[in-house]
Amino acid sequence: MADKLKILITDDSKLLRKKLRAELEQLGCEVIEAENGKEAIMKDLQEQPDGVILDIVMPEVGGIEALQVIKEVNPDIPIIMLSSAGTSQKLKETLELGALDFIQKPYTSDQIRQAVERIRRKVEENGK
Amino acid sequence: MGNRYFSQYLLNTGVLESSNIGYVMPKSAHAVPQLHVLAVQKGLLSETQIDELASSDDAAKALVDKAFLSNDQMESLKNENPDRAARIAQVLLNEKLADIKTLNQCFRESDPENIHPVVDAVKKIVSSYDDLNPVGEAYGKYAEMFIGALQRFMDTDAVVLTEPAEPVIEDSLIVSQSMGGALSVSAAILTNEESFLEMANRYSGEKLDTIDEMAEDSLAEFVNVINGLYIVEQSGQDVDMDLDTPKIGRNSCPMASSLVAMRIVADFGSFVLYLAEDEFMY
Repeated sequence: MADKLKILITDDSKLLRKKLRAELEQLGCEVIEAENGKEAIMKDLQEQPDGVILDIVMPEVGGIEALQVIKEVNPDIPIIMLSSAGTSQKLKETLELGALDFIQKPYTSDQIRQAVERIRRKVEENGK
Repeated sequence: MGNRYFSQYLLNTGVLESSNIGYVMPKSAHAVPQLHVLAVQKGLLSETQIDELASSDDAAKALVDKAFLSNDQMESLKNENPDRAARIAQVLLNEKLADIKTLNQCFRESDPENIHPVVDAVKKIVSSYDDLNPVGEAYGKYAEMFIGALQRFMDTDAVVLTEPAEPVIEDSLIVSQSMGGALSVSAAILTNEESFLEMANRYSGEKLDTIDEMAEDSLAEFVNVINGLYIVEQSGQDVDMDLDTPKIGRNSCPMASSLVAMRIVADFGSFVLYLAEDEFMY
C-alpha cells in the first residue's frame, strides 16, 4: 500500500463530491470520482483504489448494483456506503453484500475520518 | 415541542398575523432578546411579577430594579444562547404586536411535548381540500420534519401559512423527489430564482452567484437528505420505503393525486412545499 490511500468517491451530486473530496484530501487521501454506479465500476477496474465511498440513490446504475459488481470483481476492497437512504433494510442489505459500513447523510467530518481509518485498517489486514 | 415551532404556534393562535410574517421573520433572525424575555421564556417569573413588568414603562430595567432574579439567575441568562422562540418574542414586543403577558401564556401553552403547531397548521390546510383528511396527519408530520430541517440545515426559522398556497410559476424552479415502497409520498419545493439561490447557498455553505449545476445539486441534496430522514423514521416503524433520484424542472406546476400545496415563509422569503401520494408530473 502506498502511504496515501486512494479513495474512489461515487455520488451523482457534484457539490457533494466537491465537499467530500476536500474532506478526504484534508485527511491525506488521493481522491478519484465517479458520478454513478456504472462509472464507479469502470473506475474501480481502471484505477484500482484502496477503498470506495458509494452513494445508493443514483441515476443509471445505483449504489447497490455497483456494490455487488465491485465486490464480485474485488471481494477484499473496503466499501463504505454514504447515503440518505439509511433504512434498516438498506443497512442490512448492503452489509450482507459486503459493505464495511454505512454512513447516513448528512455526514459529519468525524464520520468521514472514522471511515478512512476503517478503510486503512482493512487495507492493512488485507496486506495490500 | 411547541417552543421549537414557536413562530408557528403564534401564527396558529392569531398572536402573529400572517400579514406581519413577512417582516417579523427576517427581523427575528437578528433580534437580541432582553433578559426579561428570556426569564419569561424559562418560567423564572411568577404571574404577579410578570404583571408588574407589563405595567412598567421599561420592563428590562424593572426586572433589575425589583430584583426578581438572583445574581446566579441573571448571570445564567446573560450567558444564554437565545433560541428562535426568544428572538421572535422580542420582535413582537419591539413591534408592539404582543405584550409580555400574552407571550408568557404562549410560552407555557406551546411547551408540552404533545403540542405540534406545524401538524395542526397542515391539518387545517388539508381540511380545505375535499377527501384529503386521511393524509392530514401524515403530511403534517412530514411538514414538521421539513421545518425542523430548515432550522437545522439552513439556519432559518419558518412557518406554514394556513391559507392555501397560490404558486407563482413564472421564473420558478421545482425540485422534487418520490418515495415509494410500503408507503408512497412525493415532496417538491417550488420557488422563485432568488429564494432558490438563497436556499442553495445556505445549504451548501458555498458562495453561489448563479443557478448552475452546483446550486441545483445543493437543493436536490437538501430534499434528498430530508426525505432520507423521513424514510429512516418510517423504517423505524416497520414501513420500508425507497428513494428515487431528485428531479429539477423550470416554470412548471406539479400535478399528482392527493396533492397539497403549502406556502412556507422563512427568514429569506417564501416558497411552496408540495406533498402528494404519487410522483409529480411536470
